[in-house]
Amino acid sequence: MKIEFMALFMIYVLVGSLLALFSRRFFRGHLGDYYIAGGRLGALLSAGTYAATTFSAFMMVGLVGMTYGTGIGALGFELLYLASTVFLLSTIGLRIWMLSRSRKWISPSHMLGDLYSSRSIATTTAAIYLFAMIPYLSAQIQGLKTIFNYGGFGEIDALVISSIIVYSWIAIAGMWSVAITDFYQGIIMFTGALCYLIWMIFYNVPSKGISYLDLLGTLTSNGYLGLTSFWSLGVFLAYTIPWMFFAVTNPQVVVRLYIHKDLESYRKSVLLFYIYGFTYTLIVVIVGLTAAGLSQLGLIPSNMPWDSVTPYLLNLMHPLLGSLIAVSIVAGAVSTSNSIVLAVSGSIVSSVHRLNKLLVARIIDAVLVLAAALVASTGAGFIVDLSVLTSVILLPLAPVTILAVLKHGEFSKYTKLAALVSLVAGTLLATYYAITLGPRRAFREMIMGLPLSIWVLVLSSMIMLVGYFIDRQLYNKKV
Amino acid sequence: MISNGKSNKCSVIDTWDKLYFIINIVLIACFYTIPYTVLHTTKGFELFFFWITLTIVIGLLAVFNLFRKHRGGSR
Repeated sequence: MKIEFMALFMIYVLVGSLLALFSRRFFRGHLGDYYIAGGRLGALLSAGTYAATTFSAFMMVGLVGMTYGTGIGALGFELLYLASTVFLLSTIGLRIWMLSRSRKWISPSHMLGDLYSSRSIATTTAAIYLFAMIPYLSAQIQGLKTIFNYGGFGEIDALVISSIIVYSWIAIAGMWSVAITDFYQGIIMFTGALCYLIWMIFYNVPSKGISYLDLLGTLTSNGYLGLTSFWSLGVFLAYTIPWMFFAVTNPQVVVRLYIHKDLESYRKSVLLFYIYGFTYTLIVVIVGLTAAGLSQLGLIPSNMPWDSVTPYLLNLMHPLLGSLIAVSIVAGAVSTSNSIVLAVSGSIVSSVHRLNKLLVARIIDAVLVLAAALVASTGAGFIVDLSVLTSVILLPLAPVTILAVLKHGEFSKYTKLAALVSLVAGTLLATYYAITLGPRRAFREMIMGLPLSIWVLVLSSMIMLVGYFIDRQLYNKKV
Repeated sequence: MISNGKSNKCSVIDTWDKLYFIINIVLIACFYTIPYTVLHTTKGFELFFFWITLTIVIGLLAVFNLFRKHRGGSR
């Protein structure tokens, strides 16, 4: 066991737990406070929790590996996510926040159920979250296993420790403790990434006896700064389409639209998130490109699996630095995991009247963490693919949410029916291909020339529009 | 937990909103079209700077849009 990792990890847990306990003084003990902090958060905490929830262990493990393996296309993939998220936050997101002030939603399924005046839609949405988010949550815990392995922990230890941290930082004060620890973890994540970059550029490259010009020359001559053969247009579409709508499909980020105390807080938090996301993405991609250059020069192995690149590089560092970066990856996974648990649990609680109690909410949280840990213990999947596949399954929620926010109040039975059919049909289509082709192939495979994500989006959108236009026609006739 | 679906429209879509939406759709489309047409064969930093510039433009527009709306202050 690495002493440095152990020491830094204990400090991380201790400070995080103290912050979580401190947050109890703001917690008023009701469900609205547990799930959305009563809509009373300022810009810094809101931005911090949004950023730490969005950016998971995928950034430091998956994205570094993806850039190492496929070159600059990974930057386009991640920046397109950021650009479309900021666009959605400045339009649909703002409307959702405004509506949430009067509607008092505690979860995205609650929001959809309310906007469509349909309990079936709320329940179906909650069921889709439950189905889609468990693999995503398990991927986070699986990522934690790899990092704990670096620190010398066994698999079972890693699962138990990560599950306890994820759960306890939720149970202490719900969104309050999650938001405060997220803010703290966001700082650790950024610091870890910055240290990683500085080590790569100012220590690792010079120590190999090569110049920056050699590195850049290698990247250029091997095509890593252009579109490599991996990034065909179909693959680029397959990766980017689900992530473009992430801000309106993934419950853990949608619920964060309800937490701002006022408009000023909302505006500033979007700006801060944008600055954080942009800088963090650039840092991570530059680290990945440097690793790609070193591998092309034969200074590190060139055929590592993507998820093994960061663990390999961590082992080349001084243990203290490697441990600091490893802890920052743990922070990324924990902050995403507890936000997912809280959002999914909020959806379940708001969909079923009888579960409408704080104690029940905490029990559901515990069950969700346990379920994800059990799935993770089976060793399922490849972090990148699993995470992207979750977003494909959640894609039908994009047209359903956007139409609800823009046109609510204009719906009658056909739009409601269309929303329900759209959710079920889109989810079934994604699941069918995931089962028949396997998760990895399902989103990269071209079906009639287009990736699965486009078919899911087109199918769900068409069903929604048909229902909406039938309602409009009938309404106009009556008038 | 589910309340009724009463209408509670929060703002009016004006010309700027429509223009802002169209500009963003075009910019996001450029994320795909330019790299796979004009920059398809480049090997230097063109793609790197193109994607970064586009993200900065979209981000600045978003911030401008957010701060333009509801100048009257907080709700």
